[in-house]
Amino acid sequence: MIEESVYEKYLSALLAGRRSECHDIVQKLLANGIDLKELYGKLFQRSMYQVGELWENNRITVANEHLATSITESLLNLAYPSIFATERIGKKAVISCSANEFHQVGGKMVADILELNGWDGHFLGANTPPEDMVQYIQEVKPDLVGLSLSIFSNIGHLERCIDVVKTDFPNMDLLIGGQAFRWGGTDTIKRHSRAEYVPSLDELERSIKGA
Amino acid sequence: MTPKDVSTSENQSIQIMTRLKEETKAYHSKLEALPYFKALIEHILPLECYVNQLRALAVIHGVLENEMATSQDERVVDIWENGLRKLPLLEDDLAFFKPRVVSDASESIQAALAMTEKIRLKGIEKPTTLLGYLYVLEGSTLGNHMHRPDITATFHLNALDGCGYYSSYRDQVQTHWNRFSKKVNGIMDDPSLHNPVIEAAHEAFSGLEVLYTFLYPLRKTNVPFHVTRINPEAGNHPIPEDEREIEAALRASDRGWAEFPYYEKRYGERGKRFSDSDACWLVTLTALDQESLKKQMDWLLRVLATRGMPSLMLEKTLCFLYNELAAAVPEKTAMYEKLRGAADALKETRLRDIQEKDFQKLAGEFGQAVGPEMAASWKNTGELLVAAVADERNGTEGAVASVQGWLTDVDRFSGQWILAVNEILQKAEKVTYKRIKT
Repeated sequence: MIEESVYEKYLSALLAGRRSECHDIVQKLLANGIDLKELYGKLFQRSMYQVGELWENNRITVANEHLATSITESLLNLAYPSIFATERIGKKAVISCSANEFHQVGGKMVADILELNGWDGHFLGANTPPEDMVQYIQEVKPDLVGLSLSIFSNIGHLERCIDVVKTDFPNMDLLIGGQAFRWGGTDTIKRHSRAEYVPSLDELERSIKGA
Repeated sequence: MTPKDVSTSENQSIQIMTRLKEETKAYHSKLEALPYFKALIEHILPLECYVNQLRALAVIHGVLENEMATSQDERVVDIWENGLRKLPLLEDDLAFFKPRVVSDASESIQAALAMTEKIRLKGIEKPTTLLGYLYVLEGSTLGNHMHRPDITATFHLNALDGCGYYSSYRDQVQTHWNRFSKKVNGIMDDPSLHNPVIEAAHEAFSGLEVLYTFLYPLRKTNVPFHVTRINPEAGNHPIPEDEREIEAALRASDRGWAEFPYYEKRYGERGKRFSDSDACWLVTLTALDQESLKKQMDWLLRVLATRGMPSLMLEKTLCFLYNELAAAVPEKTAMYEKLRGAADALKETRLRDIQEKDFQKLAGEFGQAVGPEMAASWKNTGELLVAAVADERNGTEGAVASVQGWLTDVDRFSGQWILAVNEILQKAEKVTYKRIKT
């Protein structure tokens, strides 16, 4: 359980760019045996959503936002020893951002949560062309594909990505999520068979446990 | 490669420019040996490679120069001067080549954007390390001077047309470099500051190596235009693939700025570039359904209105955009109608708590209060002020403060003007409040 005072302290350090303070807070939480899903959802995800909102409302600059992203990405690495120690269950997922989508923290977190649940989460990173994604899927043969979208205007790229994947792998399960869907667009996902919108990391876990 | 140990007494006595030169020599040689520069020397470099080099460098310079010019770090402030800016030269060169439409090379642009991400982070975390990037890019002027004849010969250029960047400082390159070196050595005289700057210079060279590797030979790209051709600092967002739509968006942006001179006075050339790239992005939203487009507008409205750009500006821009697009690409008029729909929705929201006639009356009163000369020079500023109040009433917290703060700055405006601004805001607040109560 992350106390509100710890969250506030972390957010304040994150916004001020105090990298080592953020690092210490996360290290301490890990040392105290925090549930990693909670660390991801209640600290990393919550704070990054708040950073996005603060930028939208002109409370912080784009530079603050970039720095917060950079710090968060580096902190994800701290959890890796625990994440990759989880027993494997023999399932694989390919996680990616669609073409033209350059915000990759969310996708990276999804891949980590999958790893935490014993999956092999192959994260392809930002701005992946659909053709490259298809090639990788052919090589890895995953049980599901996850697509992350942060900027709503990239929804056309996401649709193209879904179409390309579905053409070659019509029975592939697709999980789709990201901040972009705060502004709508889930209807786009519903149009595709075996494609599911996943609004949160909790939902992601529920979904993969049923997979 | 890492900087040499700074703790040695030898390094403590060496000036930073000497260390930078010595410790980046290998990088420099590696860069010059890349196929791009070989092709340049052999006069076989294709034009699209050269133009894309200018585009990529515009991206890097745009961000670096802004970071340096706005830095609070006293050493950066002391070193930076407007005379070091290369972005204007790069933009002039790109404008020269504009009639020969050259596709944007996405890989080199991505390489440039990757460098700008690092530059931005340095600007916040360790501003003095920006000097490592500045050293590398400023040092390029020496190489450019040497390569300038290759550029003019390869592309048959006259005078400075298309090679302004390669002609930086003209025949004063060495003098300029000596002056720059002396200044940096003087300001960066603390040896404990040197290593991070040298590391940053290494990083800059590595970034350029990736960039120039992508620049020649160029790989075919699926996307003809990247947003950085419109605005080097825009990062990554979609823009139309049809050049007619891009031109229409730029005309709409021009009309928006002509309608509200406040924007040019407040945000200058850099702001105009963002207005241009935003207008291009708005065109891409016409691919969405009306409801999704409206949601994007609600988001954009909040982003802009809290930064001193009331929703009225967006509303008008959407109208201009519709008109320009429908005229330029008539076969897609039905699709562009969504922009008009979005503008109507913004107008409806704006006038929810204030009637149109009251809106116009208040704006007119502002014009009278500031006098005909100021009213003409600051056309439609009264409308923007009333619109800011409407935005605030509609839930955009900070909309009024973001215009009021700037428009009542005593260093910028007369007492008469400031009084008029404050009065119009108060009146608009009263009118909208009354309307809510009734």
